[in-house]
Amino acid sequence: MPERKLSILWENDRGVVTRDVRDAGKKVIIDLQIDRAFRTICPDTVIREAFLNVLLTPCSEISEIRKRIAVLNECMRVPQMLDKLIELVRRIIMVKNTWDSERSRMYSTRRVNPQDKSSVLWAAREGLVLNAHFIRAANVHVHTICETLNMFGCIDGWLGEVREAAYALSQSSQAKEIGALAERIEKGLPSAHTYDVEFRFDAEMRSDPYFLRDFRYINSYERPQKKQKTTLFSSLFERAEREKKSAQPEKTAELPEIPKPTTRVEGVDSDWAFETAAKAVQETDRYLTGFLRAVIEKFSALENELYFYKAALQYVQRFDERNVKYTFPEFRDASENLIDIKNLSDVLLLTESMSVLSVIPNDVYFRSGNGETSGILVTGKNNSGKTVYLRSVGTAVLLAQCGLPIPCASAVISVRRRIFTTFAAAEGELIPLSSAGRFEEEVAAISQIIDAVEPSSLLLMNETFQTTAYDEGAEGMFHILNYIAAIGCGFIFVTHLLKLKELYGDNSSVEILKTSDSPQTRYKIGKLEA
Amino acid sequence: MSYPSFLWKKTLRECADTEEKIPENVLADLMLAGDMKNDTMNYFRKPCSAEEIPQRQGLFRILLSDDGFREKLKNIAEQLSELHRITGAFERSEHPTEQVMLFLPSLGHYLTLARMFAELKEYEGRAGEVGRYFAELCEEETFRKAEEDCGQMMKNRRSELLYTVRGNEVTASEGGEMLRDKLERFFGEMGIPEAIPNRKALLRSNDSTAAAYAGVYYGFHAATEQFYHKYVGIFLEGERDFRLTSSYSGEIGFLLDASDYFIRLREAGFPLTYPAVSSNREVVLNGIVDASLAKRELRGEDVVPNDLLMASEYREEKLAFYIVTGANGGGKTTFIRACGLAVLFFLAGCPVTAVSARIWPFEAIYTHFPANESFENSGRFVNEANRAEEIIEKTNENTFVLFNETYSGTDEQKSEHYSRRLADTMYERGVFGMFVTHIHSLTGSRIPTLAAVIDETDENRRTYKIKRVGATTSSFAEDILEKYRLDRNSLKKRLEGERHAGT
Repeated sequence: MPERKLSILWENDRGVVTRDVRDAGKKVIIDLQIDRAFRTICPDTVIREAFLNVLLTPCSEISEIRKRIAVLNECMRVPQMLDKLIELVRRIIMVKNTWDSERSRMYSTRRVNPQDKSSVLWAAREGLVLNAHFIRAANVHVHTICETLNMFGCIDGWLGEVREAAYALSQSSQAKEIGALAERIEKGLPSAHTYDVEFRFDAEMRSDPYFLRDFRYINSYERPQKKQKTTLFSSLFERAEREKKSAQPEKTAELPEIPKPTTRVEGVDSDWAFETAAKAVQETDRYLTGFLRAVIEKFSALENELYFYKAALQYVQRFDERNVKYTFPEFRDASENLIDIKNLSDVLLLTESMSVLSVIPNDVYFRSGNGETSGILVTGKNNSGKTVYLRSVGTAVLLAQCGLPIPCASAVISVRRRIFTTFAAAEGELIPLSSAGRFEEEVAAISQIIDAVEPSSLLLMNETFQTTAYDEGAEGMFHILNYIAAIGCGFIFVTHLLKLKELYGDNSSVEILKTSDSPQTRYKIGKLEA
Repeated sequence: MSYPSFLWKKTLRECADTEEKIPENVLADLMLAGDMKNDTMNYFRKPCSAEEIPQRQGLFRILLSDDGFREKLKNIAEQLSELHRITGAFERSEHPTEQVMLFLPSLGHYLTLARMFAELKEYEGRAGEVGRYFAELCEEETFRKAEEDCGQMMKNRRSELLYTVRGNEVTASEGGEMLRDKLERFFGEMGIPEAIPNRKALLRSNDSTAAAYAGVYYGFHAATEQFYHKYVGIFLEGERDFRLTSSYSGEIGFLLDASDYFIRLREAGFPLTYPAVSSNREVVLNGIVDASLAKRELRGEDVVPNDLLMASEYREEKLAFYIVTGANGGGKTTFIRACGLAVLFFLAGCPVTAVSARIWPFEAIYTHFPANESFENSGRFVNEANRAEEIIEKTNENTFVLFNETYSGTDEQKSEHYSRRLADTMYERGVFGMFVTHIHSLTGSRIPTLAAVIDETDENRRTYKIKRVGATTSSFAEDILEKYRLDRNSLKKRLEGERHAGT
């Protein structure tokens, strides 16, 4: 099994998101006006876009959602940790950018004559030294990531995995050895005069590419350290140390090592020697480049993921500031097809309205099977809160499945495989110059959804099929809703198609809700009285 | 005895002289090109003798039914290619030190290969014969000793080398643990295996590097020299020179590639049969279908099968050479191609796409199909006539020949004259074959005629069957029109339909 890619958002790499999925996700976000709500919550465009990008593909695995919630909880506990991590990851990206620009500067400015092998070696050395320098630079930040997570006690879950990866790449014995190698290269290679080049001959007398194992160089002059004044204590310590040494038994003389057979390679000239050394340096460079790139890529990929949590944190902080009660829902398996939320408020209204007290919460409940409802029809007068109700449910399910809390008293939700929305298009939004009429375009949109819909999906429809004769629209919709229910999907349908009520008759598979007509209970939604 | 061949009842050495009796254009005319590798196709140009055909058929029977055998042959093919790669390096090497060292792995590969061949001894036919030859070889004391020595030498072999480069002085010494390996191990342990770059191509050694290696590992080199002198005379000279086994690559390649082709045909629903070698001059094909139709992704079941009876004498009639005529698109070319392929496959010891068959082992096949429109210095007719003339010269009663619309590049009178001459010559010589032509005056003579006629038994579809007929006067143009619903009746109906819709 391949190792899991380092991520604090996904259990498994979600791969490339296809254009269809991306477009469908965007449509849901726009229909539910989540983008608008987050324009207020998260003014930073880059962070908001990264957040909305994650919303395109909500999680469908409960374990994955729980892990996200765990990360978000850590961020809520110590918000400064998130900022620190973002800063460190940005620094790693900065190292990468500087590394790239330095390398391109190096390649563009140097003039190497390929015939002059000594200049080829010189250029190869320069490249390797540059890489070694940036390995050390990146290592500092990776090290700090590990320290930061340690300091804030993030040792479990996905953050724990980041900590482990950072440890492995900056503090493990292997990392230290690579760091020491990089340091040695940076300090010594520019003045190297002797190169140890290793390779292997296979049975067929073919050799691996040469690899630089070691090199020797002339140490630059170092000023001898001044002898410190001896104090009484230090002279006492020195004496004790001398005595201790003299007390140790002398080591037995070791047998002299048998010299390894060495032979001079005949028939080679200085060009050949320079070229061999250059090849070895270039090959080692390839390995260290691979290492540095892998380290940078591992952590730079976290940037957008951290932005998601940054926006999520701002969302929670917004609720905290406005004293809105919120909770993480309890998740159930997709097959239960359950939504049970008490006192759910609309996120957009909560973020935009002057007072959160003016936002009227509503309950939502349905579950399919066992004679219970699999969908909800919402009817009522204009401007009585039908669309807000639909939006609040959609937003709650989507955000919950992305690992965010939702503004309600309590919530139990089955994870949905997919979420679809169709909101009646305004005249201007229709495809220009299309030969099809409005109704046909609606039908086409519904047909696309029906093609893509999977069991345990959630469909949110707002005033669909009202672009034709109402009776015909209702008739058409009735069969579609029955189909949706039959394949095990839940739906909420806001409509003025009252004939649907007749068509359903006493059928209890659909709950018909109605917005309140009374000014005292405005925007409250309840069961339709017979 | 030298290495026995898989394909012929000869040794590999003798096989090198096997003549390609079937011209190259035959494979192209029968549309075999592209189905198999070029090297494989060449084997179809070397027909088997009457004795060899059943042996080769035996091989294909095992290949098409026993996956284990195929697997063994594939492994042998891989081992052969390894052996030849390294033997090539050995032969190309101009440096004695390197040659001596390359001999060791070459022989190692050969000894392994011999063991692999020996595993085939249980099989019947040629495969078993080759297997038993190698099994005997493996039992010999020299062979066993060579295996033992080779294993020991390979075990002692060290591969790491370290150059110390200082100015223009380069010294070589033993390698020890490699930093590259260490880094690769580290990257894996640190969870970044993607940091390991792709391995670059290996470099060939030269005089200096080979000498340096020999100098550092002088003990090992001295041992390889001894090994070389001990075994070179046994395995690199005379009948058992292991370089001779290179011919097996081609033979096994042919068997694997051709059997792949026939497996594909079988999976596409084409019937396969192993024709009997007839002792009389005859070609009897029942339910023959054109294997080249598989190219068009047709299923075998959807292809109309045909029958063919050719005999130098059948009920006091000479049925060796046929005139084939009939509707355009009625399947004449497909039919003669199917028959041609059947004879070609049969001569190569392969299965044939028919229900059952019996064929005389011909010496050669010739075909004359319309050529591409590229005639240098001469017109189409001259080109056709020249090609036909060459074929006519080579034919005899042991050859199978197919002419497809020959002499069509001239006026009717001239065409008829030449065609008649051709048909008569073939008939009189007793050559086996067919001549597709539109010249109806050729039909109805003493030369038997086959025609593409509508298959009355198939009620659902308009299909054609090739049948023996007397004289014919039409090319069944009406049938074609009907097929595309452009005939009188269809057009009438179509008109009525449109009127009906209009009202």
